[in-house]
Amino acid sequence: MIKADVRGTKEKFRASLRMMFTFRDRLMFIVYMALTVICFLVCAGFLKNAFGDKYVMFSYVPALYIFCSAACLVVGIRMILRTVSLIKGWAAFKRKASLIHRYLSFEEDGYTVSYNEENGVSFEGRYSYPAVEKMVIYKDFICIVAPDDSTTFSIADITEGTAGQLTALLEEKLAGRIIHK
Amino acid sequence: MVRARVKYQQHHLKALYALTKLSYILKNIISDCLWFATSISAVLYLLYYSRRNPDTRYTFLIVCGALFALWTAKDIIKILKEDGGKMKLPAHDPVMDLSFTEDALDDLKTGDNFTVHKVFPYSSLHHAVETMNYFFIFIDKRRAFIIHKSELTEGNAYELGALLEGKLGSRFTDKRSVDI
Repeated sequence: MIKADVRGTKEKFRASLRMMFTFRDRLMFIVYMALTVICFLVCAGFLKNAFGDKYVMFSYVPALYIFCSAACLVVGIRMILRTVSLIKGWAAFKRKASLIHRYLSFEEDGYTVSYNEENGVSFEGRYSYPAVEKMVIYKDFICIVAPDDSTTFSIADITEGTAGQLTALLEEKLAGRIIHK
Repeated sequence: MVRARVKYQQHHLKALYALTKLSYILKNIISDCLWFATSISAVLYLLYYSRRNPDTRYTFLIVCGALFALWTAKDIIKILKEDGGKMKLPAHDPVMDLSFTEDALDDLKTGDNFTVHKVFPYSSLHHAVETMNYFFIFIDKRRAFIIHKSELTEGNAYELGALLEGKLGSRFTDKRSVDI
């Protein structure tokens, strides 16, 4: 049996974000932010040049001008609200991750993860290896994604058994579902 | 004690959508309607403009505008018609045994190759709603347990309603008159 006591740290949080978000996700976030800026610029541009020469073709159509600037404004505001909620979610996740103390125990037929949250919610999950969706390895960190739970821990968190034993066990049981980053 | 055995099916998702539909529609439909109006007015204007000043460039813009209008119209219909594919059944098809004790809500989830046991003290629950056929117990703003009243295996809907009302106080909403 291999056991690990996992406490949330800043490095673990950063590693878990890196493991969870792909390059495509990060690129999409940048595109999303760029679109937000474009929406506001278009909105401001329409307002500024409503009766000028630059957008004279559109300014002769009040309905088009009004609808387009309103649509850009609504989309821009929605995007900002989404970004704020995303950042709030990250902050809450970071806070939660730093407070939770997880216990992991790996056996031949599966693993168990348990923890208690600050608000009194308790969790105990028993997973057979076929239930694991994927395992991501990044530097010394391992992230196991399973239904209802994803746990990130580092090799240094192992309290019983060795890192070699754990990697050998997981590589044997999760072959094909391991992603190296 | 009240117990329920729940296995999520489409009707659970439809019920949750019916409960939260108004805010979902309002959030998603406004910008789509504005873009639809923008593209339609652009198409109308370009049609009018191209009549006075015939040019093949306008045909391309008109087609683009019409396609965009169709695309946004499709989105609007999708939002009004159903959940827009936002809510999906859990991939692992688990069965949940929920027990409402005096202190907490106990959730034992059993799926293929896994068992998860969670205990939620009533103080940790976000809010709960009782409708004509369902109980919705929200553990946070976005996630909820959905229980059809016929899925109660011990105790009855009246007992569960009274228990939730007693434990959650103002966080419990009685909407039994709503046909969901």
